[in-house]
Amino acid sequence: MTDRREEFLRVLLGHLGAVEDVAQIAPDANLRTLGLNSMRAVDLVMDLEDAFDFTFPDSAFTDEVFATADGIWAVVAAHLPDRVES
Amino acid sequence: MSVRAGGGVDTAALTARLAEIAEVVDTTGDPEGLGIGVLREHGLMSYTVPADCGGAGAGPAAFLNVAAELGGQCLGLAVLWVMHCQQVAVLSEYAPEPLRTAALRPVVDEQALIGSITTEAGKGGHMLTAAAALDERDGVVRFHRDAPVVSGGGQAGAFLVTMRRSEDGAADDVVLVHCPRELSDPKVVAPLRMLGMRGTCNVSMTVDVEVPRDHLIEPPGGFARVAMRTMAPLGHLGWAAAWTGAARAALRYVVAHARRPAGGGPSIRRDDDVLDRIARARQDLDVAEAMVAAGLREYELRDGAERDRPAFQIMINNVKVTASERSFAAVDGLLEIAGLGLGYQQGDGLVLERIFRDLRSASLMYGNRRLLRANGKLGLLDTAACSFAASGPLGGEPDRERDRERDRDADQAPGRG
Repeated sequence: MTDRREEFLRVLLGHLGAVEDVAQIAPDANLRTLGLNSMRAVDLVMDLEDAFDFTFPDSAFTDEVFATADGIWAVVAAHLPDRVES
Repeated sequence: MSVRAGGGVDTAALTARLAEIAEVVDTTGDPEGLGIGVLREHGLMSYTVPADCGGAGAGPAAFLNVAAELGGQCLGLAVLWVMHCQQVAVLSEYAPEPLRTAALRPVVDEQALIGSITTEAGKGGHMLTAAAALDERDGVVRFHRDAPVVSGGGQAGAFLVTMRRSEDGAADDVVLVHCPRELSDPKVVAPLRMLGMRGTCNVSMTVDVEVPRDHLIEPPGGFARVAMRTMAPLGHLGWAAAWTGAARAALRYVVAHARRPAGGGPSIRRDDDVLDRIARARQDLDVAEAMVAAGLREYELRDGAERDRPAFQIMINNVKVTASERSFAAVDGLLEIAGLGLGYQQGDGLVLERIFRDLRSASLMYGNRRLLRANGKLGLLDTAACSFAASGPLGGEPDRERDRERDRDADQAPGRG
């Protein structure tokens, strides 16, 4: 796992009410079942923008993107300067 | 948008029947479900059921027209009907077969009311979470649920209930369960004694449900997606239309009394203050109706994930907040000029007092304070700051694209340049 992906998971973890460790976040796990609701998703976007210094595109704020960690990471990774792959 | 009901509804007969019962419904809380009976007589329970399931197949615009018409006669009943249509839309769009057909058949054949159970002690009306969990074993789903507020709970033929998926699941992991009345052991605890909105037949109740597993509605994206893409938009638009219809009825009442010649019964004198207040009420009403009309256009132009977008959610929340505030403000101002005699009093033909009490609930239902806080957060994500991006003339991308195409066509037209 790259450092940046690990950093992403740590930011994500802060917005999940039902898990306590990044190891519990499977890439394709349903984040809603882990406690991510739409309002927490807004806070998550703000924290991701601060952590990765990019602007989360409005068009990516969809239920599908926020369904899984992989979905959100794909958006973040696409905006990193060195295009980190998962 | 016209607020005349269409789509085959006998509006004159419907409004005449509702006018007959509105006062008794308000006085008694309608334990017998008189209002629901009128909706059934007019086939309105299956009005929005798709034609392939035997319903009238009315679309969103016709739905809003009827909501406004009902709101002008009995606001509680209008709001109850809107919620029923919300449940019908959920079943139509998300229930798997054979549940979809089986659940909608009684709505068509028996004009059954579909009730909604989302409230729960401790969490209020927050739709997207649930505390009580279901127990699923051997293909059977069982649960007990205390429901502090259920509209039409005494009359509903079935309920759509939000439940936490399991005891160890997150409160946000909500699943929707279709619960026919005969499999739910419903017990009405008490009717709610409310300031107004008595036509909603609100009761507190309990259900003890045992249904086959295929009564779960679990579309991709789960209940949150159902709520975001269908329930919230239809509910907010429908309620807003009903409130607008109620405020319009109040304005008509005041205008009628301001037009009545002296000597022809009690009247409202046409002084400058009265004219100012009529103007303000009309303005409030127009703003509320414009939001409903614009919201409807945006709803119809956006589909699927397009309705997840912050701009759409902000817009649909604003339809609700604006219509609730403006409708009540209009009626509050009208009550001021109708005075103690024609406004602040119950009696034969005196409708303003009831509309005022009913509309006071508008900001409290799915509370405006919560919606505005959500809009504050969502607003940070909509960098374009444009709520009507799909339909509006003031910044919508589709319109700009159409403009560019038109410009290109004009540039290429023969004889130019």
